[in-house]
Amino acid sequence: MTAAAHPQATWVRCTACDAGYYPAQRNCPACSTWDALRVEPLPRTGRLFTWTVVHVGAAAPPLPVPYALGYVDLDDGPRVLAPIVVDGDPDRELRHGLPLVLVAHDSGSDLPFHCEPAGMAGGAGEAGR
Amino acid sequence: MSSTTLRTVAVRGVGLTTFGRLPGETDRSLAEVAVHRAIADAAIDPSAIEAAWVGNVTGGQLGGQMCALGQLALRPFGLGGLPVTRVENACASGSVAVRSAYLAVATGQVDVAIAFGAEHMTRAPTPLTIEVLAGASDLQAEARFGVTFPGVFGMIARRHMDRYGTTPEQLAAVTVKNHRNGALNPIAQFDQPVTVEDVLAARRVATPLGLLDCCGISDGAAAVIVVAGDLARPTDPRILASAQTSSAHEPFGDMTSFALTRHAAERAYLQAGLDADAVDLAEVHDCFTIAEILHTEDLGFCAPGDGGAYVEDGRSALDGDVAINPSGGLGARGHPVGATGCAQIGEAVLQLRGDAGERQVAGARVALTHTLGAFVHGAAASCAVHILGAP
Repeated sequence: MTAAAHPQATWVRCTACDAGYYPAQRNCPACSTWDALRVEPLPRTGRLFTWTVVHVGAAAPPLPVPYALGYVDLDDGPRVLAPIVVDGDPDRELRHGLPLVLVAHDSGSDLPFHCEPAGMAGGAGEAGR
Repeated sequence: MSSTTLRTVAVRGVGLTTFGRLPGETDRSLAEVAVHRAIADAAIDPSAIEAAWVGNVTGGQLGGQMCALGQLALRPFGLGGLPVTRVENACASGSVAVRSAYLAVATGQVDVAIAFGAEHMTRAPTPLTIEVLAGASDLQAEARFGVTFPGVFGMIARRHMDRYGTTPEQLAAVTVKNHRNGALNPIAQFDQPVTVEDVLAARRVATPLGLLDCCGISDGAAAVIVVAGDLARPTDPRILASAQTSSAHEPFGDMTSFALTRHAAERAYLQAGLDADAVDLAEVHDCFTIAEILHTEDLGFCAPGDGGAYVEDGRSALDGDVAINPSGGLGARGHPVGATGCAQIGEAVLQLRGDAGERQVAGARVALTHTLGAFVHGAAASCAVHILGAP
């Protein structure tokens, strides 16, 4: 049995008008419905909108540099910021529109998810971050 | 929009400290110097000041003096009893402090008000400062993943380059211009000219941005004293417009333009009865090179996508169409975040009085300032635009 997915690898959809929001919120500004948004898993596929490779990081979270981050347009879902895990130099491997998969981490992880290229050989999977 | 008639407001005094690495100082000690200089410049008795606003962002986390910075900084001037308010609006804090003082005078609440901002940031190790500043993004959806502000603007640069063909050399032209201007500004943090090759060869901070695409981490303070028109001297510049916007309902957009800058500029131009063509100089929020290129477009100085060519062709140089960041901007003057908005107003006032020395923009009559703060879900979160005019 696999561990439960991270509770924040999710977004919310309004039960009245179906508008979606990430991260979760209680109000739907599209139709003023309050507290009637259902939690759904984030879509598992998407495309890279933009990215950067960070060479000078913050004290926290204490990530080893360099690391890649990007905004990802999830299919029929929101645009999310995510760590982008690739084999090799991300600035050579990444491009706008690159198909990605979202890998949800288990509920005990610090981070809820990361993204990686679709079909990446030996994909990092849930152990990725 | 309300139809309240606003009074004429003038800037009677400005005071700036040196910007840079200033060991031994604090937010409070720097604020005291800026306030002292502004009072001297205004040639008023301190007791005439009826209200105060102070911009500060990182004091609680980096310096420990979370509260009462304004009250403490005003004590040496015998000032007590007046309303004192700390403004936190990320990197736009100083500008929003000025706007608050402006509104108090314009609406007749008081006749004399002071806005100042101070930030002592070099006290902390750089990774801690980066962490604290990343708190100006959405902690849950952005900062937790390791987003940094250079990273945010790296992602913006990548979009602008992809959509418009903006080049690394055009980004570098922003640094070259601003350091050239900063070399003429006695208070600037970085006072040495740099070349395009220097910028391109600098180590990477967050691709595609390198160290010289980024403003430094700075200490400094600035203060602005605003007065009702009938208390202004004939040479005191007027505040023609003040506008503030946020990104709360802004769609994510394509990250090549900031809607809140466009909206603030529209409101400011409308209030001042001017358009972008009337602006002689602009102090804009060039926290990163790509940021100045976006602002050049969003403030209406050129068409969307033309910001890179605009700076590369010298149109934003001191003798260009619009002198952008004659002070050196955030990139060369420095960016002590809570002080920046006040420092921008300070530069505008010096330029409009003809007191800007070697970096004086010839015949300056209209100045614009633009400050941006925080970044959530693909868009800056806070923006203030002011327009000042020579009397």
